[in-house]
Amino acid sequence: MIADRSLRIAIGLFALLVCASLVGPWLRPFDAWHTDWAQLQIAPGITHGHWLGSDAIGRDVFVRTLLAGRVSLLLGFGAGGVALLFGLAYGALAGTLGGAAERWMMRALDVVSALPFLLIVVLLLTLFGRSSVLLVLAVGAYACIDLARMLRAEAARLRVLPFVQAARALGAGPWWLLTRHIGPNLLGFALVYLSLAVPQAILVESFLSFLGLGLDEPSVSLGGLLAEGVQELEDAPWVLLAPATFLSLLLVAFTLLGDALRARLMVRSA
Amino acid sequence: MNAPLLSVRALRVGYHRGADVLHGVDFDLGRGECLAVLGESGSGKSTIARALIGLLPKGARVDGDLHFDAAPLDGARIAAYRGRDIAMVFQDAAASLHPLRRIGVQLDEALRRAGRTDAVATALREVGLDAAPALAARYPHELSGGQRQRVMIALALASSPRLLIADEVTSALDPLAAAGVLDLLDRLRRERGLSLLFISHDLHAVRRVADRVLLLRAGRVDAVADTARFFAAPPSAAAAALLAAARRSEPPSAVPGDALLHVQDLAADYAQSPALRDVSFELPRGAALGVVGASGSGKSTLARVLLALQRGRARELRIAGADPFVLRAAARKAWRRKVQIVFQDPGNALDPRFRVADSLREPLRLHGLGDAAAQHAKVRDLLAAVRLDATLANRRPHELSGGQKQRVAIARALALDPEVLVCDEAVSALDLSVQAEILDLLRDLQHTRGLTLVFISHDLDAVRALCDRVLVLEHGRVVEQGETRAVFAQPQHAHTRALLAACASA
Repeated sequence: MIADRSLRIAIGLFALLVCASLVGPWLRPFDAWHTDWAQLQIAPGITHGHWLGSDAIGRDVFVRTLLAGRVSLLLGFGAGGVALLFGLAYGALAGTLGGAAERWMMRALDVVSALPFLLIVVLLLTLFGRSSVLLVLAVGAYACIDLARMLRAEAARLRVLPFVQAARALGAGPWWLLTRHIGPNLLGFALVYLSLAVPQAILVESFLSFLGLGLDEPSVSLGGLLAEGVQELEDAPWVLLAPATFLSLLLVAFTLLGDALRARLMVRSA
Repeated sequence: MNAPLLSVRALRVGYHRGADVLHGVDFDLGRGECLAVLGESGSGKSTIARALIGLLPKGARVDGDLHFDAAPLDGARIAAYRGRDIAMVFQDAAASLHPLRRIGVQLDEALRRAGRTDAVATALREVGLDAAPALAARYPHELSGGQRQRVMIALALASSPRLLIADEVTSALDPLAAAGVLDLLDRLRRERGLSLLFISHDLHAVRRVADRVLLLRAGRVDAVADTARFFAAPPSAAAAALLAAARRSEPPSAVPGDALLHVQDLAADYAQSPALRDVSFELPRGAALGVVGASGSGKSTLARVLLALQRGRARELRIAGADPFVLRAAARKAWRRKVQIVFQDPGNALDPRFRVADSLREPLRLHGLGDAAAQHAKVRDLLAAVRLDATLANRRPHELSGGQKQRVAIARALALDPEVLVCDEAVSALDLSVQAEILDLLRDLQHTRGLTLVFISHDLDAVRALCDRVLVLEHGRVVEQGETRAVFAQPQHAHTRALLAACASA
């Protein structure tokens, strides 16, 4: 019952944020780069048309926040998808194979995760330019390490269950076990983890953008807006507060969604 | 005798939208008396216990007239009594103990909370555990199942309760450990005048400790009788059926033939420590071999090695005509058609995402046998062979009962027409009457299909009923083997005698 309620709240909040970021910008006559010279750094209000105020060069904070939210969501889901694809394949394979193969695959993962992630991302972004594809791949690769670890453990748990052992006794090889039994049974688990990985990816991307390592202008994500907001914090706090609130709500929605999904999909013993 | 310690009248319990679980249960429990509550799973046994200590899930409707020590027992008073005058021990001791704290610390805390100054050592000694500090310094996972259950009892006793509710406390233990716990409960009852509500589906255990037996059936009291009378002259049809299910017929005699299983000096490891050593036996085609032993004796490792699910080293190994460990991949896959297994846990026996028909078609698909139509025909045959209705083919595992799941698991094992069927505790997790049906089915399959059975179990009654040969394992070694009748009538080895004594109170 409790899970039901929090699932409804989470879905409601999440849908609200997604709809706002998709539809919201069209509600206002401004685009993200429109400069309103008459209204620089104006405080939030209804009458002058800038509902959440404007920034130092007169751009509408409402529109920019929602557009940046759209970008962050896209990057987050993109990175989450990348993480799911590789993490599921790698973790499930290691967990299904077991034995020495599993040990070596996990040690390799340990080595990768010991590398300084931020340094590598900075290097990549400097070498190949700040493209969104590269950003999605880098953040996805980062999230995929944890996902692979967790799915490996879950796959190893499934591997010793009677129905998998029975399939082995019937003559099934690793590929059959992976594709028919272990992989499909991991999906629910992976989905729950995705609800953790996507906000993590959004957060990591925001962090990179905040440091100025994110997307190139004119594209802007929530992290980029936060960086701009900090510059104007003393004169116009709303420039920071709007994207910060949006990001917080987004993370809360994901957390609730993850909890509710976990309660629903991962009931192990009834 | 004066007023009973516990009196329960018209106890009804229901969960929010669902139907009632208990439909008006009446019983009394005297001071120092042991009342056993028998019944199959789902009959409401545990609900009674939970109602008495106020641990029903939120939203449960409880109605009835409860008296403890002549005072009415309502919500507030239940909470006051819980863990003081009324204590409870659960089936799963491993889950009830804090995994990260030494048992001495947990026990000390319980004693202090109860305002007692006794040493932990005294409390441990009282439940028959070694009072040396070394034991108190252990963590729960370092104890055996029986030891953990004893610690749970010591925790429950810390508050000097007058009523102890024991919910399936021996079900998860092997017969030796279970017998020890039963003796302990019996002793505590005599020494402390403790009243005991003993909830169980194990007839042996009930017979051993209870003064009276209450048989619960679908949330109603089916019969109440003194233990001796209950077993001698069952007071109701359901009681008679229960006893009949426990009293199984004699095993079939062996069919003479060539040795289908030939194992000489087999050794295997489990988690890097030796689990099997010098195991040798032969089994003729069509015979049934029972493998018995306490938990940890290597029974399941033997099953896994016979199925080549785990590596084993043997001087000579011939299972259904081949040594699986020297076969190449393709030959081994072909060999697997001859040797099949049914595991213990019906809950995980089938892939939760597969319909019954998918599970049964899986072996046929794996070996590329027949087209879709032929496979569906085979599924119908298999369901009929395990006496299941063909309409179950479209169900998913969670829509089946434990017994039905186990039948499907057996049907899946039979799909490739194997010569050897290994059953690893295949009936242990099932209700008694369902156990009897499955054993009957196995016996029937053995005859009609000429199956050779390896039946691994800690239930000696089942082994006696099904197997013509028996092999006794202790610490991974064979301590005795021979014809079932001879071994059970005149056990040669001390361990066999201990196992038999633990199981036989009949």
